[in-house]
Amino acid sequence: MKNKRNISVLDSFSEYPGLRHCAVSDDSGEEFYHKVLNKEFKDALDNNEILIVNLDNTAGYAPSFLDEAFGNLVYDFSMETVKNNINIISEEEPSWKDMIYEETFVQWEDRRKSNEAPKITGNHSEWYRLNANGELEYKTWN
Amino acid sequence: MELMCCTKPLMEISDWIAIGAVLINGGLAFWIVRTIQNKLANKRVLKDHFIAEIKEVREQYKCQLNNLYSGKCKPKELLPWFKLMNIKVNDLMTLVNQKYKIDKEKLKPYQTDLRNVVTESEDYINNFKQNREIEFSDKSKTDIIQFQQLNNSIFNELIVSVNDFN
Repeated sequence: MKNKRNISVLDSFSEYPGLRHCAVSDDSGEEFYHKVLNKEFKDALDNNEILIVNLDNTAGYAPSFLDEAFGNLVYDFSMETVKNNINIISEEEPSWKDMIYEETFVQWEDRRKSNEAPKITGNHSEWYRLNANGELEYKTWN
Repeated sequence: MELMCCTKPLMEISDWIAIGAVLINGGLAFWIVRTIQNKLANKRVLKDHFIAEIKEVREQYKCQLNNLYSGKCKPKELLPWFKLMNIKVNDLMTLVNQKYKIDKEKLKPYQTDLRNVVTESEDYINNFKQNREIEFSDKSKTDIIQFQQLNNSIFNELIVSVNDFN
């Protein structure tokens, strides 16, 4: 039984999440991924923990925010690794969980396999991604 | 003496039993009618309540669609509105599903498709950062009208389903 690592969008990022990219909004899904999710997920993997991500208690989401954040995660770590090591909580709006698991994960896994890299619209420091050898590498990816 | 012996009692035991039976049956019938009436009245009251709730939700969506169409909405105010509506609709549909076996997802087009049409539109995205009132392009307005045309009947279908449930 794995231990749990808890984060929430409200506490670790913003009460007012924005849209998909940094270029079009503050507190975007892209920013949440690069500031919070990538590192937390890597830390959870290193410590053999399940990452619990709580989406509740914010002012509400645009679907693009969640798609970009969790899609990048799948792109960088693979769908199998993400599915096995994450638990998303969304009691206020359960449909987000369905969207992320049934649409985002699947679509971004396809993107990962076809090397269709995510659009980067902000300045981000290094982050983890599986390299061609299947190893996690920490650098600023283009 | 002889006269007294020949006098029959006014009521025999069987008569008393018959009267008792009539009274019991009468009481039972009264109780059954009252109970059924109350139950029917309760059912009706509950149906009317849910129908009123559905109408209120319809009105709120209609009002917001009008605001969207006439450019009175600010992007950042729409996300909390969609969230609150989704929570309200989820609560309503959970109860309506329990009481009347109606599909919980019946209003999903309003809960997800409408939100996607709005938040994925270029006009919404371009005005988000500054939080300016969104002046939708003709294309976006067409999308909103098409959404309305496609889904306008859902609320009436829902009301009919609640009303017709036995």
